[in-house]
Amino acid sequence: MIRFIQPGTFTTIQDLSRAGFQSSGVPECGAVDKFSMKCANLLVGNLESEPVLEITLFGPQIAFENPAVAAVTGANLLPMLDGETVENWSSFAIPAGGILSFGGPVTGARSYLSLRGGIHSSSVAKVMGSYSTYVPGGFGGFDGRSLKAGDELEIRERNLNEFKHKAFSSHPQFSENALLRVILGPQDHLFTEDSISVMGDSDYQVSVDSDRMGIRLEGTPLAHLNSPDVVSDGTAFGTIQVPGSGLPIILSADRGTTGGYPKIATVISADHSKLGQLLPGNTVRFNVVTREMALKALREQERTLDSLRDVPTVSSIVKVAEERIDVVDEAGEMYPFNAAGNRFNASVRHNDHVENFEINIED
Amino acid sequence: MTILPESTDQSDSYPQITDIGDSALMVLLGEGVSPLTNSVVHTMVREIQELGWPGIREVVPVYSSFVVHYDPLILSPSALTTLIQNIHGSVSSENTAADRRVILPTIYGGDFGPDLHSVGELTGCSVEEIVNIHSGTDYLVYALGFSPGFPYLGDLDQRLHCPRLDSPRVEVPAGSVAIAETQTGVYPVPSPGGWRLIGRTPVSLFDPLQDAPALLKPGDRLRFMPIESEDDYREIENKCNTGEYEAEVIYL
Repeated sequence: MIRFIQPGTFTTIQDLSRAGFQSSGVPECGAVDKFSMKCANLLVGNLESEPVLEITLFGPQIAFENPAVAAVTGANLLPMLDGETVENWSSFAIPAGGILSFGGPVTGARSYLSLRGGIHSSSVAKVMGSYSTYVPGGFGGFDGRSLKAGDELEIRERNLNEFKHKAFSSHPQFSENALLRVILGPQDHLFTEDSISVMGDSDYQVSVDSDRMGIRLEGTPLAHLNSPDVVSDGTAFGTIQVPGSGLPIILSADRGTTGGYPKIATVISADHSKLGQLLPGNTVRFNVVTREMALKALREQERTLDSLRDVPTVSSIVKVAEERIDVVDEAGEMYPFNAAGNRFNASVRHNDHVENFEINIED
Repeated sequence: MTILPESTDQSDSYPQITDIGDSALMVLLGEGVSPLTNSVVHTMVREIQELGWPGIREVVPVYSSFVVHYDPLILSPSALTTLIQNIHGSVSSENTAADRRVILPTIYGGDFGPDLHSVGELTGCSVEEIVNIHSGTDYLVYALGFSPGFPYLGDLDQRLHCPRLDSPRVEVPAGSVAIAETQTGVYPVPSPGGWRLIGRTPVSLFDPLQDAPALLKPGDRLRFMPIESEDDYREIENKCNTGEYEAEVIYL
């Protein structure tokens, strides 16, 4: 059991996302920086989709009743165990009676705290297929809210002795000046040509009004060709919408499922992690790229994660057709693969969890 | 030699398929808001969902467009675009009639609809006329969005068109029935809002703990049924709270 002595600025339980309910108006939710969240889980040997604590700015003070193995990733919020600094992006042991605390933000905005075994399902609510807390709607996670002093969470028991220490040496460095790569559209044609170049050439500052719904920016306004209204349509994580003021808003995990403002561009998946780490006052610069470049960057990020993953061993590969192969694992179970370029990707089920991985076919 | 298509009919320019970043496509089926286009949106979305392609994460319909979220490590946008174009070519552009009508008991005016009088002043309609016009017609649920379970409804009778509030309310109570410009809607959960509140329904439109959390689904018809007295409202509200009330749904 762990107990919150202090809750921190804003600490919630988040998993990957609440997918599948956007057509009912339910936001996607989930960790804002999913890359760091997955790393936190992998460092303690959890499934990467396991719910974790998303810690914003000033972290909590947590008392551990039992020994635990933990990892803190993402922002450097100065994690400390019994007053001694512990390393970010690295697993560490906590003794019974240990107290984990945070000194304050050094770089980045959000840390992810994982505990080996994960949070016990008796302590958190799975709502619409996800443990993610959606605070505006009051559901999911711990009682649908951020944690308060006195809250207690049960941790699932797992043999801690089996565990080998893991560290992630090639972790990202978050900067006060973020370069965000974007793909133009879907409504860049509703902006003046000047605005497209202004967006690429200007520095924008992150506003204090930023939260899990979106990152509001201050700087040179972008001009619409006509009206700043469009017929309401869908949004994605990283979509940059521009309301009448001309100041861009980058939509994040808790964004509304629909929006009525023109969307000039969308931040590429490989840079979503950086979005979760922006602090008010940080500088953002946009760089327009192609979707081929975006996919290359995402694959590189996946390969980085692979270094922490236990990828299942493939025992044989059967080529079924030009764009399809099947893979057989050691247990004789078969998985269908789909081609994406010359690399092949598959979703493989481990017990009740689906993991994606890819293999590269050489000729 | 290139053979140019003979017709440059507007219908040929749709679907317009555009990237929303590297893991979603926006599919636009027409301009503006039309029940016919909206019906094609929902038919296509259903077909794509039923295919269950690996790599398609979620399909989200709105008025005249939908978004397909996909995993670019599993599915290429060009394969997905071809799929969407093929489905578009095969769906009939006839309006599929709604199969459900959901009845929402609604109390108008008083504390439940604090803007009913201002709507009267702005439109020149009497309170009785507003209630009769608003509850006298079926509304099409174009989509759910903005907040959990919030229905985008069409189309509000022209006689009731009036502007939004100058300054939005910080919190609109759950169940509030509201109008603004050409639209009417119901706030399923408390949220800030700038629409004019004319009434309230005691029926819950969104329950996160249900398998189908939203009462309404796109394509439904919605009808407001006036509740005569506050006592009747409280009686339905109590039944809703104890789980004894079930919203009236008529299958057409």
